[in-house]
Amino acid sequence: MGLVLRELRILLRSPAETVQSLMFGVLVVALFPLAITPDPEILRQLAVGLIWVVTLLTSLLAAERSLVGDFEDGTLEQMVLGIQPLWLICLIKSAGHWLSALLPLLLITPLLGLMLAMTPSAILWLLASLLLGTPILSLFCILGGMMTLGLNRGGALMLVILMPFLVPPLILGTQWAMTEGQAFYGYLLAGLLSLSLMTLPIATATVARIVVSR
Amino acid sequence: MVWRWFHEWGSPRFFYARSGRLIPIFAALTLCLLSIGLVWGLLYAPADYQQGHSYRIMYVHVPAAILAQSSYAMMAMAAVVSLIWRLKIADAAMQTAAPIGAWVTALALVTGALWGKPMWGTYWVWDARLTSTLILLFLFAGVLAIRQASGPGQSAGRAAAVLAVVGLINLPIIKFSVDWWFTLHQPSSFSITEKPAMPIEMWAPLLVMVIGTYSWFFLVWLMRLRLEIVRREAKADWVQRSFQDEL
Repeated sequence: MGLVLRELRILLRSPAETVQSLMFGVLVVALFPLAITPDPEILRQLAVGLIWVVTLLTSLLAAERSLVGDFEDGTLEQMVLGIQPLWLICLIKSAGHWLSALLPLLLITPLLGLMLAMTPSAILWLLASLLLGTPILSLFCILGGMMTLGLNRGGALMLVILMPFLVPPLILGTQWAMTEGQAFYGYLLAGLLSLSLMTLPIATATVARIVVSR
Repeated sequence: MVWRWFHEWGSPRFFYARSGRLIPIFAALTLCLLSIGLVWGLLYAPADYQQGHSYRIMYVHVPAAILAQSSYAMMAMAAVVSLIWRLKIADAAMQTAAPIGAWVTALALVTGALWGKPMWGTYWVWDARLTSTLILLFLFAGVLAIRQASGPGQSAGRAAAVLAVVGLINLPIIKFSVDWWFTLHQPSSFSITEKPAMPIEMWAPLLVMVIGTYSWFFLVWLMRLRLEIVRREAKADWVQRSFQDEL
């Protein structure tokens, strides 16, 4: 519990990072109409995919940041040595990543949707798919971030490592949003979320032990 | 009994000595099968009534595509063994399988693209199987990249091993999730339970090629693995002694 509070405190005391994620999202989405076309018909068709990709990139960018502080000041080492189960700590770290980088982006998604000329019901389904899909992204990003801690060119490396794993949530999420809630995709996305919730914190904990011993 | 076998083969020295005897067997097998398969498939198999002679690239493409997936599975299995029992051999096996697997996957993609041009009129489509093979290549790239970045040593291998295992669990998920696109690709050429749709004159050389490619994979894997073992154990007594004459 103390850990959860600690994550929240870190989050609240460094709003600049959260703002950075938000700005990234808004700016990238603003670039698309400039680069492709301002035609609302075309933008509407592309909107779901574009916003999903932006969310995915934001999530990747934020992953390193949410771990590197703990790694550099030795907190991570104490977490590995401490009595709290390590997988739980990793789960909380993922939750912290989601709260700091992805939740703010979710909150402004309606705005992003309007920028890309989406209809209200489409925005709603997009939000639902992001709500179910982004925790998966957070879990994987914390795993990838942990793996690349302390390595040179960690950021680029993380993209290479994580890209294959982010494909299924991306496909299922965008399909679910674009079919406006076809239950099939929703169930699969929910299943993927529960599988990730169960297995990834354990994998991340294994990697944390390796990283600390390195 | 099994455990003893396990321990013996897990020792680098024993492995090095025994695997040396396997090399000529695999070399001969590979040479025979690949030359028979290539000559038979490329020169003697009948031309396809629809695709003409261009279907013959299948004799390279299909074995590469089959091997690409199994080499990932073999690499991930070695990763599991190295994570659980911390066998040095398993770690070296994983490290040496990754580049071979990556090249085989790349070969499958390239031959597929070359076959796709005359058949579908395009080098690349975002078809389910093509996409999942491309993602398989990225999986290999990730394992190679993390190994490269973390430098030599046991901990580098373990991080890569975790990644390979997570990838193994994800492989079916990726395959299924990628399946939602409509598919241009023809169904699998081989299945264990069903009779092949091709006539025997066509699939027999293909079968020879598939087995030959597997044999080639094991040959190259063993050779690389033996080299890696010597590299890692360079300071050990038995390595020093066996290479005394050459030094």
